[in-house]
Order: sequence, then structure tokens, then C-alpha cells
Amino acid sequence: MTVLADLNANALGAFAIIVAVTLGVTYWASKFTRTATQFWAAGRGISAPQNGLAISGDLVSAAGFLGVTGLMYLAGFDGWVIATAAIPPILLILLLFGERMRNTGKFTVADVLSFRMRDRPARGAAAVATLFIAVIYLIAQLVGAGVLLQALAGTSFTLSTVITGVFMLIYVIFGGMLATTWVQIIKFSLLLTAGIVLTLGVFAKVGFNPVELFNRTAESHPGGTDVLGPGLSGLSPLSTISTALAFAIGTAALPHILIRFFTVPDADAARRSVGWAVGLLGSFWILSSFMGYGSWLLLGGERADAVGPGGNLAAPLLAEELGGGPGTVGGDLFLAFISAVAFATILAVVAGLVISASGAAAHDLWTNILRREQDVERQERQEPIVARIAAGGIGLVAIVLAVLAGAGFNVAFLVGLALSTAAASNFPALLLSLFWPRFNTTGAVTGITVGLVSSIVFITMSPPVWPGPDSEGSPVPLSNPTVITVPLGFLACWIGTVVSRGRAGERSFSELLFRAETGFGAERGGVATH
Amino acid sequence: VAGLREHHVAEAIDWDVAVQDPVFKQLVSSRQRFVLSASLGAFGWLVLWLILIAYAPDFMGSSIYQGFTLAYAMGLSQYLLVWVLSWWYLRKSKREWGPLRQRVIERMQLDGGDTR
Repeated sequence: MTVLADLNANALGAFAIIVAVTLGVTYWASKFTRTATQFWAAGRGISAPQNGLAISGDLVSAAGFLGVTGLMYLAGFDGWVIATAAIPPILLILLLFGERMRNTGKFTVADVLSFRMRDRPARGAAAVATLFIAVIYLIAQLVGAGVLLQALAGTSFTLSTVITGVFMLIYVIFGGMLATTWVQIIKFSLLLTAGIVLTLGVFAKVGFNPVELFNRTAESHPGGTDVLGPGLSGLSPLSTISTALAFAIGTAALPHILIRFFTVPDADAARRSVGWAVGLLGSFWILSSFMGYGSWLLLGGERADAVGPGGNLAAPLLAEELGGGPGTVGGDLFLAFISAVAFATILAVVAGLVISASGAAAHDLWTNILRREQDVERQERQEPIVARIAAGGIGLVAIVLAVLAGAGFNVAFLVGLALSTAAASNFPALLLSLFWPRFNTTGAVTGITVGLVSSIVFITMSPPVWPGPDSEGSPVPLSNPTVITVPLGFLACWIGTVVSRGRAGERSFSELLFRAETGFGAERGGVATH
Repeated sequence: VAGLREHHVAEAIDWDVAVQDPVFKQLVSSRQRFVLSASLGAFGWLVLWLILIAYAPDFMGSSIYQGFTLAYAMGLSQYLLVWVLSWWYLRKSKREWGPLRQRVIERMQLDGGDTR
């Protein structure tokens, strides 16, 4: 990617403000982060609108925000498809998972998935899937962070990646979920503000008339009116569908999103928080379509080199243009603001990923599988210690791997792998455990395993990886294999269940159903500790 | 302490009997009917949009009104549908299922369980 400046003082200054505010929040949050419930679930004291903002934030990574504008700059309408495909899954989360998660689990997706299963095998499989998804996604985000900060602020790739990783660990280790949530809230508020400001800027240039925006974009674009419809990205039809479905189904089962439902006081708040997320996030992605067309209209083909081959700098450059253009005070300020929003976005998303991984490692693997600790009070005391160690370990491994991977590494396939695994491994097992009475432990374990393994195998054999980037000879033609792996995951869940028929050591579906539907016995949140 | 007490209460409940409660059954069937049709509806609408985009790009690229394309209009309808269904679900949860839930819990307590 192009580097905008050797060292951008304005961007660095804006980063410093973000860092100062988030560290302040972390210091405040650290006072309320002692027990396990406080560490992973923010004391169950997050309100519905706050959680809605945080969920929205979790669903927009820097790659999402900059990527959608960038893809629309490059290919017009096609760039907007993935953003829109991520909206219906939020409804699925609301209808299928949100309040049921809150009613049947404590801290992790594995809590819910293993609720009525034999605890160790089902929890173990679910925890491994969560860890895998979180770590893969984390490496992708950290590499992306390094590349992006290098371009925006001029700091080296390695330094950018390490700085991002260090702050991520500070938020999580000292401030737990409370700090992570508030960093996410701050980030999404900034992001939405940026979206509104840029959209207003774009509209001001076309007399606040959307039709004018469409037509002038089409006039100036080499694709003509084709830019306003699908097809310019040149993906095969099946790849288009598979990639969008990976985003759609994967989004509905991402562990770092689902654990947000443990942070609210009760199922009612869980439900309302998704209502907020649907409204906020939907608005943002609709605004992104205007930013996308606007970026081409205002930057035009002549700035293509600066925007870069992936289009990632389209949004920052659009901001610079709207502020008055390169070299002007307004342009510099707008550019610095968008850079800071991107930086906050990166920090918030990676912190959420580390929290979810620490839950799988400390609550699932350590407490419930290795130690089989039954005493609730001892769990509350010990788990945060193990969680902090796990977070530190996972974070360091991810930072090292990201630095080793380097700036040129193709992270798109890592994101694809994380989403495909969430879609093929988490989604079928979680759905069936909540809705299919006959589903059992063997079915859950085979389903999760097949979903995970098939995602890895198919991604490895797909064009981005096998036998080299952009090759023609790969055995699987899809860059994103969800259309195959999700049915495989469901099939494996079903086969495992009917083959084994074993129900020994399991709780009844009736108990799960009753608790999930009524919230009976669910741990209620304390009244605002913060 | 709360955890232990809840554990004892839970042990004492026959869940297979609890789920046969008529009010509970009414709650579950009403909710699941909505959840199933809304999920399939929203997801189906998304898949239809994706299939049309992938296989009929020219048709989807046709302009409805001065550059406002069919693909874009159908994209916006995804948001609208999700908003309407979410609003409807939240409304039904509050007005219809909330009171039913309350009644189920009250009936449980009459049967001798301390629900907390």
C-alpha cells in the first residue's frame, strides 16, 4: 500500500488522543474488574443501547469500514454487497441466539453449546473452535493494522503491529470486558460520526440529491452506468454468493459478538441491544454506499495510485478531499480524524477478539475441562487470573505471527477462514443444540470438528493459497467455500447424532428449552456498578 | 451461594413435566412460529438478492429511476425488512410473550419451586 507521508504528525497526534482516552477508560474499568463475572461480562451491567453500540462496533472492522469504501471506489456497487449481506444475520442473532445465549450461558459460546451435552467433549470442541476463529481473525486484524497504520501515520509495519498489540493487551488485561466494551462504544460513535460527516460532505457536492450522485459517478467512471449495478468486480457468480454467505452466516456465529449478550442484565436487555445494533449498523452501511460512490466522484481515476490496489485509502483520501484537499489545514485535519477512527476501530476489534479467546482458554479449557472446578466462588476468584495469563499468551503469539507474516501477507484468506469456520463449525452446532431435541454430544463434536477441518482443507485448496496466490490450478475454485462447508457442518451434526444415539450424561432438552424460553434461573445482572 | 441454591431447585424440577405446561406450550409455539418465518423470510430475501446479483447482473443493473438501480433498491429493502422484522419481534416480545413468560414463572412457583 502507498504510504501517505514519511511520518504524519497530525495522524500521530490524533492517535495520541485516542490512546489517552481509551487508557483513561481502562484505568476506570480496572476498578470494576476483579471477579470472573466482571472480567468477561462487565458485571452484567451494560445497558441495551451501550451493548447495541458495542455489537455494532464489533461488526465493523477497519478492513470492513475502509474495505467497503475502497471496493466501491474500485468496482462500484459490488463493493457494497458484502456490507449489506452482514445485516440479515444480525436479525438471525436477534431471533435465534441473543436472549437464549443470555438465558443459558455464563461467559462463553461453549457454555451454551454444551449446556445439555456431556460437558467435556462438547465444551472442548466448542472452545477449540472459538480459539481457532479468534486467533486466525486476530492475526488477520493485526497484519491489517500494521499495513494501515504504516500508510496513515508513517510508522513502520513492525512498530505499528506491536503498538496495536500492546494496547489491545492493556485494555483486556487491566480493564477486561468493561474496558473492551467502552473502547468499542467510543469507536463506533466516532465511526458513525465520520460516516455522517463524509456523507454530508459528499451530498453537499451534489446538491443533496442522491440521483445526482449516481449519475455523476456513472458519467466519470470508465464503467459508465455499470458502476451502479453488479458485475464490475469480475468475481464468478458462485464466488460472489459464497463470499457474501460466508459474511452472512459467519457473522451470526462469531464468538466475540455472541459473548456480548452475557454483559447485559437480562434477556430483555439482550433483545433490545440487538434492536439498537440493527438500527445503528444498518444506518452506517447505508451511509457507506454514499461514501463509496462519493469517493470515486471526488477522487476520480487520477488518485487511483494513492488509493492503492486494494482501495483501502479511499475513505481517508475522501475525507482529505472534503476537508479542502491535500496540503490544506482542513484536509489535514479530516485525514487525521479518519485515521484516528480507523486506529480506534482496529484497537476495539482486536481487544474483543482477545477477550473471547481468553474465555475459551480460561473458563472452558482450564476451569471446566482441566480442573473441573465446581465451586462458584473459587471460579470467580481464579478465572480472571488465568484469563489474564491466557490473554497475554494468545496476544503475544498473535503479535509474533503477525510480524512474521509481514506486510505483504494476504490476510483476505485468513478472514475468509475465520468466517468460514464460524459459519461451518459454530453456527450448525449452536443452532441445533438450541432447537433440535435429538441433537447430542457426538453430533456436536463431529459437527464442530468437520466444520473446522473442512474449512481449513477447502481454504487451503482454494485459489488464494493453492498452489500460490492467484493461481489457476487450485482444486477448489471458490475463494470462500461456505456454500460447501456449511452444509457439511450440518450433515456431520446429523450423522454424528443418528449414528451414536447416546444420551448418557446429558441434561434434557426440556430443561434447555424451558430455561432458554423463560430465563428461569438465569443469573441476573447487578444494578449499574458503573 | 445463589448458585448452590439454584442448583438444588433445578434438581427438584421435572423438566419434562414443566415443558408440558399449557401456557408454556403456547409461548413456545407462538414464538417459534414467528422466529421460523421471520428468519427464513429475511434469509431467503438475502439469498434471492445474491443469486440475482450473481446470475443476472444486467437485469439487476437496470435503472428504475435515473440511475437508481434495481440492485440498489433491493439492497436497501434488505435493511428495511430487517428493521421492520426486528421492531415487530421486539414489540411482540414485550406485549405478547413477556406476559406469557411471567405467567409460566408464576405457575412454576405455585408448584413449589423458588425460582431464584
